[in-house]
Amino acid sequence: MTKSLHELFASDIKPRTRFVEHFSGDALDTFRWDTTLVNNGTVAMSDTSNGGLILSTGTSSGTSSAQIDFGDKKQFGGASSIIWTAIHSHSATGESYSGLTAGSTQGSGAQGIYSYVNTAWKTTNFDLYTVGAGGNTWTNGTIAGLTSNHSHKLELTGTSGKSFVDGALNCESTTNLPIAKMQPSFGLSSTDTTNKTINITYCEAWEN
Amino acid sequence: MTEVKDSLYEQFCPLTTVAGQHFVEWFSGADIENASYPKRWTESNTNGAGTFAMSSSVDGGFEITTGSGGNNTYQNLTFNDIHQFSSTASGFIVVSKVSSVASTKYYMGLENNSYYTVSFNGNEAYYRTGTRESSTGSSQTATGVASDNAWHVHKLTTDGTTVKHWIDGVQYTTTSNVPTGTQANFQPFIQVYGNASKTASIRYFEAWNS
Repeated sequence: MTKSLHELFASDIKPRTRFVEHFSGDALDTFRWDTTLVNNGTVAMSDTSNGGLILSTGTSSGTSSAQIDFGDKKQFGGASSIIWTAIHSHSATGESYSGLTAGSTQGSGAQGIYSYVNTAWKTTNFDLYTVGAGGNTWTNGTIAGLTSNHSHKLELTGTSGKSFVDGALNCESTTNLPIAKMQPSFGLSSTDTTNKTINITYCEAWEN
Repeated sequence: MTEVKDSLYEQFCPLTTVAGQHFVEWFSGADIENASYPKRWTESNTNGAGTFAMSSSVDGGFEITTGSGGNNTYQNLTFNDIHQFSSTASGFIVVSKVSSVASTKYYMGLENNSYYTVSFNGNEAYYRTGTRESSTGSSQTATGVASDNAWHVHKLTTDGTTVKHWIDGVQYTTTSNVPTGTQANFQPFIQVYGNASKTASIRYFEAWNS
């Protein structure tokens, strides 16, 4: 029987950067995660089964947002992957970026690979947004169900960026792929008074 | 040989399945609650202040020692009422021991008024499975493992009808007062009872929704 977690993945190579977050407990691990809250946005542990961490925009007028990341500690490069499980409450209003970013603020256009949700501006599927050194590419997703619970995976190989939803290929981009170092980031914003939420129950990222 | 997967996630379930809440606590490090360590647990005392400390010994894990408030003093380790695990479809594993058998009691499991737990009472002959459905009552069902001060691995699961309890791989079951969902969601909890300096140790706690 395998004795170590490392050996589960690769016993013959040096371990690359990897982290696993279960979003369980009485509070978010703020030694790992940094929160950015604007205009009464909140981040809190959800007191419900499979609730994980809940990001909320709140009900204030004006632009509200909630974001978590590694506080600009960027340990993942252009050949890395990220898996998370999440459920969004929003689709047509509010927007969310989930994935790996070289930036500090969601939607800033920083290099990265993102799963994007906002049907008012993009499709009714999980769209893929990649930003490289010279520009960006929006790729329409093919998998719907924005407000259902899903597993997501974004995979960067150096020549492509792929989005998987529930294990199925959602879409792929081969242009404008990030080459900068990046951090995990989940961000949600709203410009109206309807509370938008994302519940995240798992996140894992690693260097391929 | 174990099949190598890209991710820890896929070691437990395929990406075609959305995994439920899951956590693993190794009880390794400086402390589990204070500012020097990632916060997950909340410590509290009832009827007398005890101590909570990481053991500085091989395989020592985390030690909870009761205070001096009489036999009804107990110390608690919980998620501070953050209930993320199903009361009718979940499971957990704990690895634990007591330092002295006589007059030491503990519960380790998942609760929210109702519960299912490992139930240890050094004044009883056997380890027990503790179950409570708040609408019907509580039960302590004896297993076949004698109360002692050795390390044991306990795995418990519930499907809302039967609680299965494995001790070191041997299965026992109970259907008495199994939580049926009156409280939908549970939190991990550890309670250690005993008047003055009764210590229970824990070095692993894992819970999941099934």
